Amino acid sequence: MGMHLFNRLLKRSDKFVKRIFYHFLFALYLGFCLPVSHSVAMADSMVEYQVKAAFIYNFIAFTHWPDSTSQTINLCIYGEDYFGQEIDKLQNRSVNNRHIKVTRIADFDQLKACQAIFFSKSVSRQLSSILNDLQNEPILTLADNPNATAQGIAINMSLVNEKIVFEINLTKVRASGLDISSKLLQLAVKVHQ
Amino acid sequence: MKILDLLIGQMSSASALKASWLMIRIYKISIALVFAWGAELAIAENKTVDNQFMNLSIEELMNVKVTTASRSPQKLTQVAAAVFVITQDDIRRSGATNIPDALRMAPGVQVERVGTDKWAVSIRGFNGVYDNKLQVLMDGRSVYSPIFSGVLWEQQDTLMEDIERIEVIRGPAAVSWGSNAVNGVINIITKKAADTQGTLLTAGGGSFEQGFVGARYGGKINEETPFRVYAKGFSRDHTQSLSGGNANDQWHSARGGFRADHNRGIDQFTLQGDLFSNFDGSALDKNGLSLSPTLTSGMRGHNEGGNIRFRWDRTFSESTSFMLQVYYDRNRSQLLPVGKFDAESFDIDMQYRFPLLDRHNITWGANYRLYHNKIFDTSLTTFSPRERTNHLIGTFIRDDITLIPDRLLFTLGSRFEHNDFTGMEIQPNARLMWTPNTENSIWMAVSRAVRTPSRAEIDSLINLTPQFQAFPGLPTLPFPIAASLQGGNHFNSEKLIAYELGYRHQFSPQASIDMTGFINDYSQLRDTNFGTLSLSTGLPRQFLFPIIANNQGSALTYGVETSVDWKPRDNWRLQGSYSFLNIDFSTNSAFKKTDPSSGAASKANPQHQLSVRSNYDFSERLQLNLWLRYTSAISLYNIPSYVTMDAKLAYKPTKNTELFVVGQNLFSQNHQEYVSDFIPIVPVFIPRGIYAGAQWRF
Repeated sequence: MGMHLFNRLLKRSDKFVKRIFYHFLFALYLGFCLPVSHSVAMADSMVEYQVKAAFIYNFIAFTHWPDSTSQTINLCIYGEDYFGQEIDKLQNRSVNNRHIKVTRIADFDQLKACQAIFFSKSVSRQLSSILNDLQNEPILTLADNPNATAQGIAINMSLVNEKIVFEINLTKVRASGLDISSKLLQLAVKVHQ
Repeated sequence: MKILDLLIGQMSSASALKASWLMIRIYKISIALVFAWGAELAIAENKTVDNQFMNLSIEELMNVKVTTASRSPQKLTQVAAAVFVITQDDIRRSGATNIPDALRMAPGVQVERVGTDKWAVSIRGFNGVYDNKLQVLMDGRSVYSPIFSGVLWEQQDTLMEDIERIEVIRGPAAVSWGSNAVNGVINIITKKAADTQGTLLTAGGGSFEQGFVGARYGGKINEETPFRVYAKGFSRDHTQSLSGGNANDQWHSARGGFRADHNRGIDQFTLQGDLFSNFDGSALDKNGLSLSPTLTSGMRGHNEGGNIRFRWDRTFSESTSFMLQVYYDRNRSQLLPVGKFDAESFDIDMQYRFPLLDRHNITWGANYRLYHNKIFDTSLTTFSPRERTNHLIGTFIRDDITLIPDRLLFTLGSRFEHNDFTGMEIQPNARLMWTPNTENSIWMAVSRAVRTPSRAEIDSLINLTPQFQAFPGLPTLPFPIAASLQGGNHFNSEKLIAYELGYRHQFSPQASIDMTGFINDYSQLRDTNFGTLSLSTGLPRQFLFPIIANNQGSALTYGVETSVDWKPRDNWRLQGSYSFLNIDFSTNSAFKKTDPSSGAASKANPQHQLSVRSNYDFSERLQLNLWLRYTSAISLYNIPSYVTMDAKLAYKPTKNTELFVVGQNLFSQNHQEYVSDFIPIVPVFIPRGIYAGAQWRF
């Protein structure tokens, strides 16, 4: 019975298809123009930096700064910002009775006022000399470029098999007077000491 | 917008159909609206959405998969080309049991099943069992045959569950993928070994899909070296010819393979291989029998083959990487009296990508390919020489130039390739991509691509007597006629200059649209003319009527392709696509009304195609997926338009098991999709099919 009906529809397909087509376009029009105002698009490409921002939050949470450190953790982004608004979602979040303040830094001299710095890929070439300058400062240095660990970054993220992993340079962390929780050390793919 | 206006202008002047007229007007309106919304969105941009990952524990974060698309230097939304990706989830939900059927999900791809084991698959027209303008790769291995320029789809298979994604690129992509990527490229990419750990068992059966079984095991040699092995087999029923007879194309297939990946610091190595064996067949068209009365119409064929591939990737940084790949592929096929061959290919390919100055990203590559094949004489085809070795050597360079960071990207590239038949072929292209904001992107491209001659066009003598006798209006002559299609050294490459314009818009995280328009200007297309009629000297006395392949065809095609993706609710996803295609072929050939690859091309390809998929999850355990398709009429073969539907109901009683029932081509008992245009086999009906099965993972 049902098949018979469809066969008849098939024969009259010209009209049928025209109708389907117009309905399709109409649905498109309705479906797409109504929910537009709701939210901002979140491209696939953002996922990587969303996850990295969440990782940074965790790195801060598992790090112990000397007691003399201020109540605000200044999280600085140095170099080109790939996070967009993702990193701003850490703003005013509290960790261990301190709260995070996100700052984008263009001037190299301001770096010493930060408690944590994320070095963007765009500054990877100057990394060694900057880190040299910041040696022994109680600053958690973070990056996501393959050569950063060799250059002396404390925690470096990388993509392996489409997942984010990190390695820790414990020697550097200790030299700067910070303490990293053993849980974080266990989860690192590599700990340099 | 200019090109699109031009396109729309051309379309309206060219198509007299009222329906098309209305459609175009609606298109115009919707395009205008889309732009208007885009403007609105730009203002409402500054709202923040919660970062869903912020609440995860660090262990959970370490398991979040950052998709490949975001890792590749060019994100999908930033590609200045008409790209559509069929994901593993799409494949699973579609119930497709083979790669060609899965390709129907992509907009602008024409897939017509010609028999149980044969498909005609094309993009942007010129469809045929051997569509010569479409390049197809499986994990970077070209499966495009140099013998008759086309893809033997019955040989291209793997465990469907192990396919990570199928990238469908419409339009020329010769710079990256080489010659014959004229109308498009299909890239079938399987999962990494690390993503297929554990055991998977699947089995089932039904009416047309009579029975199938598949097994895969993924393990680790050590922490850095995951691997998998798989095996599958199936049996599919024969189809019925239009007159109701058995088309003799029942198909039994067995296949197995492995993949091992090894990660060592910045290096990644992959070794992969497959082996397969197919038993299939066809029924010769009755017309063929008048030539050789001893032939029975049923034919059984066999083909088998295998391949092995090694790939080395070294990633110096996000923007600097090196790739080296080597593969060997061999396949043997016979379907007598149509053809029998033994073919092998070897390929070595390297690519290097690096940034230059501030704004340039250079990709440079080179490859060498060796084809060696032997084609045995049959009563229908003769190749001279029978055996040949051909070399192909190519290099390409592409520069992605950032004109305005994150906003305007200009890409310039060209491929230089040398082949044994036509010498050096230069295939440049230029692309411009404008991304005013994260919701909108507009791209345009101008490209040149060539389709190089196959051995069939150079070396073959194809007996056309059966088809020729069906040619209408033939005068009665005192002797029988022996007609043949002759290739020759004079045959040149087919050339295309393509103009494309595309627009993508993200309405919200739940909804997006992708639109592309193109104008393709082909020259030196394959066409045929009559040679001199002569009387044979031996017995039986007959007229020899040579039909000679030449390059005198030209064509202008244009079309639009749209795809939309909308998640009205978290558990409901709708995906739709529509494509329109028009072909104007210019030819003086006597066969212009009957040759589907030249003069009759416009009538051998459906003008309109529509697909709507609905994936609905009642709960985490129960899913219902529906897929409606429409294809307009193919008048050359008197195939009426058809609407059909596939449905898959999947139930997961436990976390590791899935039970499913799939119905295919539900709307009618059977329907015809296409006619074999090259091999004289009987046209068939594609039946409705129902199958059920179970899958177990542990």
